[in-house]
Order: sequence, then C-alpha cells, then structure tokens
Amino acid sequence: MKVVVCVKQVPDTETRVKIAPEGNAIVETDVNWIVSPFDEFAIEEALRIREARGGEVVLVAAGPDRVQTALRSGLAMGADSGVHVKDPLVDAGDTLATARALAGALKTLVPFDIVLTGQQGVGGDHGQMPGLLAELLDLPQVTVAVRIEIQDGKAVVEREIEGGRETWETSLPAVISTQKGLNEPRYASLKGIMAAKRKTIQTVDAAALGIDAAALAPRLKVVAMELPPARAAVKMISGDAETQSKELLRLLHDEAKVI
Amino acid sequence: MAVILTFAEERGGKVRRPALEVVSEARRLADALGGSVASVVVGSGVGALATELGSYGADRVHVFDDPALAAYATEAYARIVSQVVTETRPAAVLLPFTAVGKDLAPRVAARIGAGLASDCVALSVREGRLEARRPMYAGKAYATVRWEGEPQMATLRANVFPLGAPEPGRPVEVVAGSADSSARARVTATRATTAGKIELTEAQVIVSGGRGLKGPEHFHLVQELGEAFGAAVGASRAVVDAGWVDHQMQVGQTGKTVSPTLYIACGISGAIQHLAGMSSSKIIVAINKDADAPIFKVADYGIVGDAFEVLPKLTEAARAYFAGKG
Amino acid sequence: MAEREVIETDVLIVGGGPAGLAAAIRFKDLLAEHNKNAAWKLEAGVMVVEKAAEFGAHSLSGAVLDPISLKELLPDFVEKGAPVATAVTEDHVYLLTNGGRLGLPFVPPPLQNHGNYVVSLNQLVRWLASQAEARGIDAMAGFPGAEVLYDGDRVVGVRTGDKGIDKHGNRKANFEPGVDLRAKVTILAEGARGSLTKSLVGRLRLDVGRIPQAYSIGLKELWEVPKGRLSKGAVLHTMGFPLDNRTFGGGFIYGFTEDRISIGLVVGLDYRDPFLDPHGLFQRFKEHPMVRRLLEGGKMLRYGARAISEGGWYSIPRPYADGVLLVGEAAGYLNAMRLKGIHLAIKTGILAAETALDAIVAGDTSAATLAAFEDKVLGSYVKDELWRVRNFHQGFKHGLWAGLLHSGVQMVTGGRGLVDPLVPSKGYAETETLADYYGPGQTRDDFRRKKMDGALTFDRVTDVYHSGTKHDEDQPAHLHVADTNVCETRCREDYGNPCEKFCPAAVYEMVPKAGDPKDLRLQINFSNCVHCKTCDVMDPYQIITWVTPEGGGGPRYDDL
Repeated sequence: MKVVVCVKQVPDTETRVKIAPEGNAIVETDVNWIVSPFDEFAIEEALRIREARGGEVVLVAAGPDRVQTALRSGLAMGADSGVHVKDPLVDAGDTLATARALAGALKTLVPFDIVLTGQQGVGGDHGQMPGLLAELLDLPQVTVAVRIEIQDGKAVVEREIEGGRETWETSLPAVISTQKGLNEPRYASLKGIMAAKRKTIQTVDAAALGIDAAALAPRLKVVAMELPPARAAVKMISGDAETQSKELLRLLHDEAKVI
Repeated sequence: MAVILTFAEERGGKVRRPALEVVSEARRLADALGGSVASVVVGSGVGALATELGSYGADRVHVFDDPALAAYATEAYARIVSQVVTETRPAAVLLPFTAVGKDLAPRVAARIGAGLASDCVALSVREGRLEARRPMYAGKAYATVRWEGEPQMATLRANVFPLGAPEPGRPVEVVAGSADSSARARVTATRATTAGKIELTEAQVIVSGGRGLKGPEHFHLVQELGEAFGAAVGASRAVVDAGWVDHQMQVGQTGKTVSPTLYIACGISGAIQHLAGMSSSKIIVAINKDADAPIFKVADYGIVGDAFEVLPKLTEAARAYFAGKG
Repeated sequence: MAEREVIETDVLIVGGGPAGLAAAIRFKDLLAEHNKNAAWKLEAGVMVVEKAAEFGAHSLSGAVLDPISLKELLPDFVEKGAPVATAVTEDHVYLLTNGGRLGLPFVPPPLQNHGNYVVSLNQLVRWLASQAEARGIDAMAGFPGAEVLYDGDRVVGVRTGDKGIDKHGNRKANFEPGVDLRAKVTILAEGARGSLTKSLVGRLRLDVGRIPQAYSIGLKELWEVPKGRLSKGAVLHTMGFPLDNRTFGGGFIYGFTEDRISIGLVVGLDYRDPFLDPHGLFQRFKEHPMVRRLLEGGKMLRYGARAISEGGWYSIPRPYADGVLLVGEAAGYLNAMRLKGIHLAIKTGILAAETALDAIVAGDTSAATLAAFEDKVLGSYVKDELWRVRNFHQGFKHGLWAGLLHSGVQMVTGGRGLVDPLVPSKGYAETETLADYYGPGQTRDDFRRKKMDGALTFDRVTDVYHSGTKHDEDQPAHLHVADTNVCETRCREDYGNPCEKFCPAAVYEMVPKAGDPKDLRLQINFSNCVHCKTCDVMDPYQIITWVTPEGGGGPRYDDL
C-alpha cells in the first residue's frame, strides 16, 4: 500500500506567543518548531499500515526551509521519502492555497491508497486541511479517526463525535484525518535518525506542480492578531460559604454569561 | 440583497442548538447588512424543522428531505450545500463548528473555492463585508480575519453566540430540493460513549482540585462539584504526583492544556506550571483559603474560604441552579 | 539482550557540551588533514550523544569566555558566526556587606578579563553543534549515555537509555530499547559530576592518589532590564553578602547585551549549615541594594543551576584507561580562581581528539597509547593554568579571610601557597548536624524558607518553570535513593533533610504520610529536575545517585 501523510510544522505548545510589529502574525524568532502532534499520529498509523501490509510511506509538507526538519523527523520515525513544497506564494497564501499546493503534490504521487493527516494543526487550528484535500482530490473522507482498520479496497474507521463514536466505511483511496487516541507515536530510533539523513526529500515549487499564482491568492486574510485580552482584577466574593456560592452562580450567569 | 446562508445541522429530528445559534447570528448580521437569511437542512423527515428555523430568523429554508439522507454523509451533504450556494449566491455561508460542521465546511469551501474561517468566536459587519475573530495557537492569540470574494464562509464556535428570542409563527419560505445522495464513505454504526468522562481538552467547563483538598479522601468534593456543573474534572500536578488521581487528569505545563469557557480551581495555589495549562480559560473562578495565593491574580472571581465548606455549598447551589434551568 | 541494536563507530563522545563538541570537530578536521597527505584514506566515524532534546539545552554558565582554545579549534570563529558579540569592557570586584559594598581598588590578575567575551554557553554550544553537523558528525540529541559497556576493564562503548518505560518500570506501547554504541575510543564529556564518569572512575579506581573532587553549585537567571542599567560587556564579581565568612562562593553580574543581564551566585558545596538553601541565598543576593538597583522593574527570563567542579588539579583523576578518555569538567578541568572552564573544556577536547586519532591510526586504543592525552595536557597551558591555582578552593576551608590569605600566597608562589597540597575533606562531609550547627533542640521544623515577592525574587517552583524543564512524568524517577528509610528517620533527625534545601529545583519534598501526618516520607518530584547533580554531590549519606532520565527530558536553557 502507498500511504501519503501530509505533515505540518507548527510552534510547540510551550512557545510564548508574541505578536510581530506588523500586527498580523507572531514573532517567529524564538519559536521551537515541531511536527504537529496530530500529524505524528498520522505518521505512526502510516508506519503501522506499512508494517502490516507492506508498501511505502511518503511524507508531504509545505513551507519554508525549516520544514525539512519536520520531514526528517518523520523519516527518522521510518517513513520512506518526503516531498517538500517550497514556494513563497504558498507560504503567503491561506489554508485553501496550501491545500491546492499539497493536492498538486499528491497528484504527482498517484497511485496511492490512503492520505493520512492530523485533524488539525496547532498553529492556525483551522482543522480544514483534510476536507479541503479530499475535495480537491475528489476522494471520500473520514475525519477525526480514533481507530482505522484497512480491509481490501476499503477502510473501516471509528470516528469521534459529541457524546459518542461513529463507525464509517469508506472506499479507498480516501483521506482520513487522525485524532488523539488513535495510537502512541513511536520514538525515532538512533538508527532511524541516522538512516533519515540518507533518505530523499524532493523539493518542488508551485510552478512545477502546475499551480498558478491566481490559485494561490488567499481568500481569507489575517488583518490583525492580538494576545488574549488581559483580565481585569479578580472580583472577590464575600459572605459565608452559602452566600458566596449563590452569588458566584448569579455572577457566572448574569455577568460572565458562561452558565 | 445580501443572503446569509446557514447550515442547519439536525440530529434526532431536531435542529441542534449550535445550528440555531448560527441562525441567530446570521439574522443579526443580515439585519446589519439589510439582507436576508436562508438555511439549508438535510436529512429524513426534516420538513417540519423549517418552522423552527423561521422562528429564529430564517427567511427561507431549503429542505432536502430524503430517507437516503437520514445519516450525515460528507459528499452528499457537501454536494447539496454547494448546490444551494450556486442557486442562492449568498454573501456568506455559516455553519456550526461541531463534528459535522468541521467535517462538512472545508469540503464545501474547496468545492466552491471560498475562504473558510474556522471556530469563530465573534462576527461583525464592516463596510458591507464580514469580519471574524478566531483563536490561533491553541488559544494563545486571537486573529481578526476578512475575506476576499464571496461567499464568505465561517464555522461558529458553539455556546458563544447568543440564541435570539424565537418568534413563533414568523413567516418562512420553504423550498424543497433534491440531490444525488451518493457517497463513498458512510456511517455504518453509532454508539454513545460511556457517560461521564468528558475529555478535559474539549470540555467547556472544568472543575479542578489541588493540594488544598488535603488528602485523596476529600477529592470527591471536587468530583461532586464537577458533576453538578456537568464539568470535566481536572487536577493540579501536586495531587497527581501525590497519587490521589491519575495523570490523565493533570492540567498544567506537563499535563493537559485546556481552554474551557469556565474553569473552577479548588484548593489550587496557582503555581505558574498550572497556570500555563489553563490561563486561556475564558472565565476563571478560584476557591482558596489563602488570600495571597497566586491563582487570585489570574482569576475573574475569587472566593477566599475553606474548600471543605465552600465546595459542598457550591455543589448544592449549582444543583439547584441547573435543575431550575430545565 | 538479543534485541538491542549495536551501532559501531570509531569515536563515541558522550556529552554535547563544549568539550565533547570540540573533540568531535577537531577529530574530523584532523582526519581531513590526515587524509589530504596520507597514502591511503582513513575513514572514521564520530558520534556525539547528548541527553538534551537539542544541543545546548542543558548547557549554562555565567559566562566569561577566554577565546584562546576556541581560536585554536576554529580560527575563523568570528566570521563563522560564533555568538561572541559582547567583548568584556570593564571588570569590577566588590565585597558586599548587608547594605553596602566595598569596591576592590584593583582587580586581581586572574579576574581580569580583557580580551574575553561575555557569552551564553547555551548559544555557544548550539553554534558548535552546527559546526559539528556541517562536518558530517552524527550529533544525536535526545540520547543519553546510560551505561558504560565494558569488556573486562576495557571500555568498548556506551549503552543509550531505554525509551518508553512507564513509572512502574513496565514497557509502554512505544518502548524503544537503548542502543549499544561500540567505539574504539569513548570520550566522556558529561560535565561536572557526570553519571558515567562517576561510575567509571569508581570502578577503574582512576582517582587513587587524588584528593576528593570539590564542587560548587552555580545558580543563574537571565534578566531583561531597561537599557543603560549595566553596560554591555561589564563584568562584576562579588564576595561577601549573602554568604557568611565560612561559606565559599560569590556572585556574578554580567552585562550580556544592552538590555540583558546574566546574574548568579556560586555557593561552595562544602558548607556547614544543614539548612543552607543555595536558591534562597541567590534570591537574597538580588535584594542587595546594588543588585536590586540593576534589576528593578526588569523581567526574569530564564533560570538554571548546575554543579561546578572546583577541586582543581589535584582532584583530577587519571583521565584515560583502555578505550576511554575523560575531558572537560567531567574530569575536573576548570580554573576555580578565574571562574573559567569553557576554554579548558575546549582545549582538552582538542587534545583528546588528537590522542584518539593517533591511537586509531596506530590501531591501538589501550591505556598505554591513550596515556598520550595526559602527556599532552601536561605539556599545554591547561597544566600551566591549573597548576598555578591547584590549592585555590581548598584554601577556603577555614573561611573567606583564610582563603584570601592562602590565595594571595599561592599567587606569588606559583600555586604552592602555605601548604601544598592542601587537602580538603569531601564536601558533603562538611555538613554539620542540626545539633552541632544550631544547638541541641533544633529540629527540621525550625527551617524557615524566605518569602519571595514574585517580582525580584522567586520561589523555586516559579524559577523551575523558567528553566523550561520538562520530563515525561510516566517514567521511573531518575533520582535513585538507596534507602528512603534513612530520609524518614536518621536524616530527618540529624540533618533535617537537607535535600529539601540544597536542591535548586524543589525535587525533594518530605510530605506527611497517609497514616500518621507526623510521619514523613520522601516524595521525589523528579520532573522538576534541572540536572544540576547537586543532590548526587551533597547528600550527607551519599545514598542519592543521579541517573539519566529518558532522553530529551530536562531543562531548556535558551540564552543562559
């Protein structure tokens, strides 16, 4: 089976977010870049599928040079090769632009059996990529998978919804997005890291994929970014425990409007 | 005249509350734009839902009622919504940010080539166009976004946009539609997960306990308060390290990072490692015996008191409150 | 175990600090030169294993760098982008009293820093790592050296730590066994109190005839302050407050950039007071009017702590054995008087690389051949420098004034001083009991921790957060306490559990037992650990052994 995993590089969750002077992006200098945790589940699942059924695992990522590190770490886990979509026009685009570029790259990898990707990246947190890719590639999709079972020509996927689980069946090829709980990603072994240095990462730009600037023009723009508003000083509630409790509930309803 | 199109997610014969919140917001935006609101509802036996949608502000409802559409299927629903978009040429398309919405919206966006802003927590009109506010970087920053072209697509976070006051009997036009219901991926089974364990990272309300509870034998006070609020239960690292509760419940720098609408910290001092995990909660309530505890620096509401006294009273009051709400 | 993978290499370096990376870089450069002229090309692999998730993450120091050895290693280090933007512009030494200060009218020659740089060791190591990678060195971050591999008494390599073991010792789903790295020459470059070095020196008795190694703990914070508070390149050293006359140590304040100050306190780990709290002393140091003025209104960015090898020349073990070399602070190559070790780490790394290449070319990596390393050290400025200060730390055994006197005499006698060698006792053995230090009736409950204000001074937990330290909590604790019963009974009574006081990261905590709250048990909050090794050095019963936690865990000392 040929499994393609779309991988995104994101700031790690420890990063102290600072807004850049232009006001619509974060400062990238002190950022520690990692593979999005949801994509790690996707890489792990791809490796397990290859272990069970043979085949290959190809990683695809879009972004500037630093994205190579993310691809290498996936290769160190055991993926076979990588494709780096490197194009400033793609970087300046929105999620749809990225999806078009990735779909373009995926088209060069046809035939493949499954596309796996994390259900969201913890940067933009849009969670759109799986659906966008599936539509652009005209493939069925199952999102937020917590269990994937490959059978001949189809996949049986358990999916998380509010208050429950759904079981879906899809024909292959398909796009499946991965959720926490799907698996426990393996560590990259020493041998894996050393081997990764020798694996191929192919670099392509939008033109090579036949995608023109118009297709990459963003349809959604970030015009401003800010840190969450500072909190006002705490409102202390006085009285005995019973009074405090009632007053708290009243404030939570009337003032804070959270209950 | 601008049309704001909404997707009315249905479950069990009812429009789901988040979808009604979307209609309410669409109504507000349409009024600001001098436009109208249309909704599309898909399923089996859903014709009657048009009335309810109308009462929340829809002027027109596109109904796709077909036994073959009873269960949600991405490709079929996406095809239908796109079809309605082509027909009505809306200025904006809004969906709820639910499991279905998250699955459906991007599919539609790619199909019609529209920009999609996910998980919006605020929407407004500026110079005849929409502007949205949405979280990024796990809630550590908020972005203001605007669209190029039309339709302007957005998914709206649940429990944030107020439900309008329904106007029963408000006139609504119903348009019946039909479409190809084929899909290569389908639901084959559904099951409810065992009641109780709400996943911390997705919970809207969290009640957490710390060392102020003095011992594992008292932690039930936190759990009971959690139950009263319908909340997920978390814990500080101190009590996890001490073995009172499982690591799965740990909130903090090395545990889970949460961003609920309401976080109630009981007997938690507010060490910075803990704050790192919950500081992006919308509203923080702190209950602690020590008025100098650092948690009060980040809390919105504070109760200085003994957890053993306050928690039972608060639990009682909460039970009464939520029971009364019905 | 049959399932462990074996990877063979020629030179294996444990520890990706300045010594280890210098050795790797030098080896590759020498190899390239050798191959330029050699009749047949020699291929030799170099691997560096480092426990931190990234090179430099566990590296911190004051620091003022003497570039002498960096120039040898990489003559064009400035052009190559080495992070040495801050040349030292002024040197000051102060004796601090409770409220005031006395500036020394002259700066003793060893503390003169003209020609040196104020640096961040973290930044320097990151840069050295990039230089190593560029040379094709396998620089593997996230892999701790957990165990030395022997064939009899010959070192044949190092086993890396297992990954994916839960807190009960069971394998998790992603269990990954450690790998046996086998090498012709293993170089241990773990820094002060290295865990492998400690066990190797003990097993091969490389410290026979040496005086015991002495240590200090260095605590540091990086502060952002308004411009102009302290000139970039200003180097301030202090003695006195907050340390009493019997406690070795002193403070340092360096103008790192226009708006960043590196500030810290060094405390000798041979103090007498069982309640001594080095972190607390560091916070008190900042409250001195001179220091407060510099930091007021500023923001503490990062915190870290590390043990420092202070014993000097006489405490350095034999730095070679069959198949192994010891370099840098792991061996003890640090000039305690100049407060500098980075240049000696780099130099000994260079010399080890030379030795290793010669041995590999000769096909003989036995102790007899590797002994050339010691000869090289003896013939270099490493020996010259360290010989002159060989009795420095020991001179302070009887207090500040005695120490200064000894030091003065040492300076004019080429290091001989009044007594040569001055033999210290082991640092942990200097800790007095509660009864002896405070008088009968003193108990553990009499300890009072200083209250911090959260703006200038911080409690340990807040400081630990700013060290960026993280460990996967579902793993066995990496601080092995041989007998916790000692903690609950004898240590509590005799010493009042000093581990709660000397750990700068609040790892050790005596907490009430479930049954009777008057009984205490030891709780080890290992995920706070900043890998400083102070506990391994200082526990009065020597029952604490620090071992490597799962790879990747530990601090993130950005810019420290």
